[in-house]
Amino acid sequence: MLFNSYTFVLLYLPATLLGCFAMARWAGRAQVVAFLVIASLVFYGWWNPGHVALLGASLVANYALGRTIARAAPASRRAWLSAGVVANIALIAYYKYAGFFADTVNALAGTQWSFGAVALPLGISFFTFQQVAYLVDSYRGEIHDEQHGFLEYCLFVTFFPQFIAGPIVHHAEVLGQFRDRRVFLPRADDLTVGASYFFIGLFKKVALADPVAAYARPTFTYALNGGQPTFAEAWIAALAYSLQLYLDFSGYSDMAVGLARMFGVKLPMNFDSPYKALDIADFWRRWHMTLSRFLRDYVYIPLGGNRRGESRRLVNLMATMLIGGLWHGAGWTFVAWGALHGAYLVVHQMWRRTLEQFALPRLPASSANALSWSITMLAVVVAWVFFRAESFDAAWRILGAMSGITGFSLASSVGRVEPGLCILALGLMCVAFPNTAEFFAREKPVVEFARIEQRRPWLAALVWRPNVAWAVLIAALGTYSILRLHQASEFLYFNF
Amino acid sequence: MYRRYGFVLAGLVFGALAVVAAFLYTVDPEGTHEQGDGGALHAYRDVLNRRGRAHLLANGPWDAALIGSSRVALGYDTDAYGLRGGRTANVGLMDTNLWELVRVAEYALEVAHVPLIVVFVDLHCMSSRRKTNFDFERSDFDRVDDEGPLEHFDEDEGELLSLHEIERAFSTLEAQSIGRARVGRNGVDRRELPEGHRYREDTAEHLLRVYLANPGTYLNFEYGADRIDELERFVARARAAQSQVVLVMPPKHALQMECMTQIELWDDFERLKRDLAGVASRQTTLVLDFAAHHEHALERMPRDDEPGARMQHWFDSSHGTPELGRLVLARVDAALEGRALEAPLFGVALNAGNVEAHLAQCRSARDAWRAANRDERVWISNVIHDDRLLRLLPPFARR
Repeated sequence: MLFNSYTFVLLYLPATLLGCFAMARWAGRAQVVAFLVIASLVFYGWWNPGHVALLGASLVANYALGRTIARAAPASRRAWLSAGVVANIALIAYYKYAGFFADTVNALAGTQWSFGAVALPLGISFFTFQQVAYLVDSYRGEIHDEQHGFLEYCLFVTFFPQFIAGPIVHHAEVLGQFRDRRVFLPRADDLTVGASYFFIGLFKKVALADPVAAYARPTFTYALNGGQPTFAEAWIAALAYSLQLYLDFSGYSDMAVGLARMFGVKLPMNFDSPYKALDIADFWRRWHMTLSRFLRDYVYIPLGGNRRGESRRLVNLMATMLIGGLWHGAGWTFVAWGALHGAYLVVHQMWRRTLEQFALPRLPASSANALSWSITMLAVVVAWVFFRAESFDAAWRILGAMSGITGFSLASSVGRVEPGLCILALGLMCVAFPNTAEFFAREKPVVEFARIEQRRPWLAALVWRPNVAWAVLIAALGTYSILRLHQASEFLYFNF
Repeated sequence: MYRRYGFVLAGLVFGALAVVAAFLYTVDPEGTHEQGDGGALHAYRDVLNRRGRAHLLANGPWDAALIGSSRVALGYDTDAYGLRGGRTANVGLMDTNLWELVRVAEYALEVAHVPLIVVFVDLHCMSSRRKTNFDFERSDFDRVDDEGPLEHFDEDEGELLSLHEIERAFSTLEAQSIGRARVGRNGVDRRELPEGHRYREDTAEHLLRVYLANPGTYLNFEYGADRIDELERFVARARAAQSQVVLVMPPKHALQMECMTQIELWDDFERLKRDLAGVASRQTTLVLDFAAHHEHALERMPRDDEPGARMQHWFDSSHGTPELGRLVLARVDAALEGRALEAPLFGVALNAGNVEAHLAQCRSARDAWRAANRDERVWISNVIHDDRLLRLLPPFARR
């Protein structure tokens, strides 16, 4: 079931809210949690009921392993953790990477290996990461048996707002909320803030991301088929895709945050205006923040982080980003995207170190910021080309055209004025406007809110308030979005 | 404060949606709801989707039904000409295939009880790669209802809560205000070419590129032999039910047939004619072939520097005008009465005995046209090898 479908908006969501509130009113906390787990499994099973069994097995196994690790003697804990991590990686490797592995071996060795057609369970990358983090934290002694039972664990993994495409929730962020007596009750502030947040996310998806995709798709298809786009076409496609991906995924994340909030649950923030970043490290603090956090805590730091010298730190950075790239998709173009970002971060670290060591002349702050922003955005957009292109040939054709080595033709089969204005408007919105969490700063909409709160003074005039003007604006966005649902498409991050 | 905000927000959203739903239900631009006859708006609705077509067919009685692709929808004005002088339904479906056409023909036979069913069989509808339009499952033509109630909910709400439907509703009201429906009473899609229309660039070139780039038409064409078997089973059932079935291969312009020749589809084209001739002989049913180089197929297509020029029989290289459709229907009527062919190659009645001779005649006519029209061959070749085709090809179909 898609968030952007009539069934979800008009049936599933109201029914689940009513069921949850009724249970909270007339039954116990355990029954509410059980109800939400069942509702979340229905949501998940909508696509492929067969995958619910796989998910169930994964939940049971990981919960049992987590408890075993937490209770095991120190000597055997590491072995249990290794077994758990390997089992999770084996699961995702089979479903997500077996075909990629076979294709790579076949290409190198000229063999004809095949694992057959394997249907990728939706959200497997997300729920696998979430459960691996749980196992690691069990090993670290950060999880205690008395904190939660199996049903709460299931809800932590499967809670439908965040299940399919994140945000990747840390157990410490939600398990405590599930026990809070104010959660799962019908509260006017939670319902209104949640619904408004949801409508903004829905609008970003159906009214902004889907239409701008039309400027990217033809050129990427053309390049994949061997065509050479013009300078204008390549830039329009790359910029349009950069905006589409951000609006699509941040729209989904907004919907997730809004939906959870309707039930009284706060999720972590996933996007903090990434296209305002002034350097690449800043970009990764703002883009898909819960993935960045996972990679930092469960990959980069275990690899040694910055504790083993500068060279090792750079190697760890690169390895972490390669894994991040592969997590997004089973393809070498995703690996290349991860490698590029790894290289960007390495260069950034070295540049910072150079600035610290040598007293180089500095530009005025405004010029330095403009230059930094331009370089960062250029690097990000170039990397998105690998992320979107389905082959290296296609990526090189588009990058070649963007660089001007094939000429500076402004001819464009998707038009120039309309896409140009659209990209300009959406780009300005991403760079100059507050993000959704900032609009709702007064309501503390997400977990770990401190960062947003610091910006409150200049946001005061724009911040959302429960008044008629905002109600009319949000109602307009929501109504328009619902009337566009018949053209609904899947979210890009469902593929990952 | 929050409570008041919530009431205003919910009231505005649900109020606006209710107004839209009521408006769309009242105007009912596709004629798909069960509220009975919509009175004044009935004649102006746009019933070109499958839901509307199924309702049109079910609301008979009909003396005959024409079942086929967009060529039927656009090219057969059944308000002006009914087969055997009777009331004839135009059931032309955009983006269809032979599997679906057989389902629709079954609906005409078993639900609408139409005594004369004419099925138009195009080669591209034979491709086993051609998918069935999602609209089919939403319509009554799909009588195997394997969807759950929630899937129906998504579809039904899509009808009542959609910007697209609002646009269609306004065009229905506009059609009423000017007193001219886009869709005829019996289902013809009244399409008109705009002033200054360029036949080559605006339609023929574009259409050929779409055909060439589409895995459901000419790209990686795979002949679906099982679809002929299904068609034959339907013809046998219709015979048993005392209904008459006529199978028609609709006319194609010489340029379209040249394209099929150059991309080596001619053998499949002939195979289809042989298969239909086999059905004709085994089921003693009438099969008429209009897809040949007869005089109407040879009509010259104007160059783009002749903007005022009009084709009499063609919208493009594949879709004929109602004028051509009238000639086809007249020939069907004549053949039903057992009258002989009046114009060479225009509606030859095929059977197993004459098909090879007929195919030889078609090849000969084709070769004669090719010899006399070198520039047209080059033009088609340029379309096939045009770089712009790459923009349309799906990712798996790289050159």
